[in-house]
Amino acid sequence: MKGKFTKVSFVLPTMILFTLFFFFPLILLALKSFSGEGGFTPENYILIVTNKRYFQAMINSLMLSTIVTVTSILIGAIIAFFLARTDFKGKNLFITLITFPVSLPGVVVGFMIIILFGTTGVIPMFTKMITGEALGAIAYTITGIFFAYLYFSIPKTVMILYGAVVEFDPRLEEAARTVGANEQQAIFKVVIPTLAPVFVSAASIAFSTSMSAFGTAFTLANQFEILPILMYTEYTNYFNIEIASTMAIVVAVVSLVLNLFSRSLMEKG
Amino acid sequence: METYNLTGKLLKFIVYALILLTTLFLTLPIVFTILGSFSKYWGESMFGSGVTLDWYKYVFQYYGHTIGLTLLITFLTVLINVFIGSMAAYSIAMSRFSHSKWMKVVEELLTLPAAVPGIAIGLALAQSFPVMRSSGVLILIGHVIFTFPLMFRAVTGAIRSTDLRSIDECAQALGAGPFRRFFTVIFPAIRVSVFSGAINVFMTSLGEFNITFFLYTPSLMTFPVGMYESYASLRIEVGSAFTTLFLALAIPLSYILNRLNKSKVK
Repeated sequence: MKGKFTKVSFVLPTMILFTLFFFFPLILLALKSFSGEGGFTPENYILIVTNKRYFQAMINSLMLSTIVTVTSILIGAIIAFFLARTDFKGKNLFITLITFPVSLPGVVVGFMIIILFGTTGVIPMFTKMITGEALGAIAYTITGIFFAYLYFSIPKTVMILYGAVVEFDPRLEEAARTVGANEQQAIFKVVIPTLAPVFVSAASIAFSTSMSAFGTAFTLANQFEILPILMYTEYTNYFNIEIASTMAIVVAVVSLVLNLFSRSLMEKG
Repeated sequence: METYNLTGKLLKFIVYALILLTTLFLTLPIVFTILGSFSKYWGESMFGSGVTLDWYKYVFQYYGHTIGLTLLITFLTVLINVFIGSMAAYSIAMSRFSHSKWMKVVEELLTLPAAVPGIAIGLALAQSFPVMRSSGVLILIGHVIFTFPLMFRAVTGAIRSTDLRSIDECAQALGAGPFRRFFTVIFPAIRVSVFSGAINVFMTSLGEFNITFFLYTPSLMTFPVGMYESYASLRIEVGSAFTTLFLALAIPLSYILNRLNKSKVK
């Protein structure tokens, strides 16, 4: 009896903390998203699809996340394969360098884009020096946000893909080469199909991170409306708590589903 | 054959160019941030107007308190998670039902904060406990919940990968109670994983913005919130100095974490 009690006391603080400050608030958030003048109603969910501004923000978020995901998978795959197949001095340092941005907060990622593409950023100053005209000051536009999202999703994608590509059994590829496939064929017909689950998993992570990223976009964008930004404005500027909760739930569900999906893919592989 | 060779070479060139550009894209802004923080005036030439430490003085004078508060929150977050995270992981990974379906569900639930976006957690906490906001405790709680999975996963992984169960049972047979076993037998055995979990928690808490932004008050501003404010309203040199201070904490920490992860793999 006493032993049971002590065992429970090991998990008890965690249980209390999670129930009170994680599950309860999230349930409240979900209830809020279903509340309206008529009590329990799905009207907020209908509104974010029918209201032009809300719907546009949702489309913007989905488009941005899709483009960021595709681009970072492409670049990430190229870098991962390059790293797995080439040996050079300082390779470990190189990997550390290009994956370091993973540990930066979203706001700092936003600032990195200001440093590169802000009005007095590196690129505009450099082009001014060469051509006499400042070009590429795109930090505060949608292109700026796109680059900012690439800034954190490329390193993440490289990390996930590199681990898998390194562990990939090269004998499979050699077998393909012996039966007459050239390097490209071997990559596209053998390596990529085998690694497909990891690619899909990396893509889901990139997509969900882009959908739910807030700090980065908040540092850069006031002109461009995406779901997390609009959710914050609805909450603080208009006290529209129901709509803000609805948007938060939508983002959370997308992120949760993709995260679990990615985990199950990785565990199978 | 000739044309194939040519396209092959072109392809190789494109790949190398792409890798070079990506590397520059990822590393240049960090270098320029550090350089810019020492520049008197960030204009066409970086140090054309001279070198200065004024921006650091400015950050310490007006935002010093944000760094202090964040270090306090971060240390408390690590401390709390070292205890509750590793204790929960111990009792779940050691449980007789460790591989049952229900335990899997419990484990899944406890790692959920890693999969729920910060803005959803932040908004949920802000509207559930508005009265607690001014005390700052809500920020701490948010950080503890958000970083809990990092510690929990590190410790459950460590317990499962080594045969600690038999050692634990042995200590139990010798009459040691669960607390004594945990602190004198288990904890020392998993300390490297706890340490790497702790650094991970530290770094995540240090840079946490999305949850905190829904919970802070002007008198309770954290490091990243302060950085955001400097980016939005102050000179680029001040933002650079602020960011460089953050990097001075983040770079050594991620270096240690890298080393730890490598030593674990070996």
